[in-house]
Amino acid sequence: MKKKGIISTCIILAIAIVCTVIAGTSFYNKRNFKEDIVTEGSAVTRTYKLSTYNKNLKGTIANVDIYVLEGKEPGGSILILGGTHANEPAGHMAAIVMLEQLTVEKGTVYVIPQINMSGLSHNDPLEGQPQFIHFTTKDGSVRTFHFGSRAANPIDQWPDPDIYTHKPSGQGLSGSETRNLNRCYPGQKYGTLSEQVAYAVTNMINTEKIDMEIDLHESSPEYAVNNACVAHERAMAIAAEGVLNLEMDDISMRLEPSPVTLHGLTHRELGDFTDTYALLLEVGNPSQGRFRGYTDEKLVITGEDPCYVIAQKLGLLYVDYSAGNFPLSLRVARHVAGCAAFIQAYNDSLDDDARAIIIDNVPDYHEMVETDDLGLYLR
Amino acid sequence: MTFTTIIYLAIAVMVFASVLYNMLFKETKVVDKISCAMILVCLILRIFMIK
Ligand SMILES: [Zn+2]
Repeated sequence: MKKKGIISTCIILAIAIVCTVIAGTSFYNKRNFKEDIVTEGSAVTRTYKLSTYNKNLKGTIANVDIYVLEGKEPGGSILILGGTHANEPAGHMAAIVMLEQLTVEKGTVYVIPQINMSGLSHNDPLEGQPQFIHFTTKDGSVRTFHFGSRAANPIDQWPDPDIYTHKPSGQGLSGSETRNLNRCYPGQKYGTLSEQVAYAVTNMINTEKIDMEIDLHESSPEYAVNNACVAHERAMAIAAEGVLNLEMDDISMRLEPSPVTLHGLTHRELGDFTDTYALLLEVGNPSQGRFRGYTDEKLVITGEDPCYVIAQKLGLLYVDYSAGNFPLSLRVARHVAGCAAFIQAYNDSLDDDARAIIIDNVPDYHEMVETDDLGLYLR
Repeated sequence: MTFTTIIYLAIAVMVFASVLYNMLFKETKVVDKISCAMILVCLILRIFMIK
């Protein structure tokens, strides 16, 4: 090698090492960042680990906390799942707001806000999305939360197969869907990490005889299933009443039946493999849509994007984007109001109130939208 | 870590070694060396399982 060649090779190699260190540190810090969820002063009566329902999760990143809010009186129970898709922050944040704010008079509320912790620990490649989002609380402290990926982290389950075969249905999906938690239900005890998590949730619902389950999501504003509730056929009557209650409160919500032949999703498999009433809520998220422009924390929180203003004018959206934004506070408020409305509808469906779930201190939808500051609803 | 992951990691290490060898001793054009360097960054992160 000539001297000139040696010098250029050394310079390029040095730049590569610097890039590796910068990227590596950033990814490592993201992977190891622990969100602090405040239970002090909340109605959380106990926390325990998801591995209670699948021992194989012990020692993995997926062994997350289950937060339990128990009422003074025994009654029915509900499981709220947040963060299934970690690039849909309203689901993750709504679960955190509820576990930190709700009080329970009767029955039990289980909340798992980080159900896809592996997905929260990294970002989707090439999407340019932020790693974290921040909120200032009433007392002025800043709280930091993950913005993650739709899929589990490849370092937890790698490589992906060419074709992902869902068990037990045998449905074939593209290989990367093997890391999509919401295609892995009812799950496998000894499967991939995502399948093991799904198995734990199914087992939890069966073991604790949980009456209702709500999985909180977001979707692109141009996607048809939006501002919607997807319900398993057994949960349809409750969902229909819940949607009517929401409409009466000026919160428009579509009702979609869970497709019978689309497997692996909570609203299908948890309805089929457990006795729970399985529901899934969707709300429009501009920071995840394909029409979006520059993507940063501001877009995640305000939902303000000039490209979506154009899309709205062209009639391409399934959410009302006439205000030119779709803020996270509104999206979280929709999820919180949705959970409260479906709990009410579930209570109304009961013959007697032995299995009722009575919650209180639900943050008001209109107040959350008006104040437009999620930090006020965090401890 | 599953057996398949270990096999894939071994493949990643071999590709890394081969790309590094090419960069140091085979490639003469600067653009090709830069291409090699860009491949090395991704490979080293995967070998250390940092994502
Ligand atoms: Zn989703």
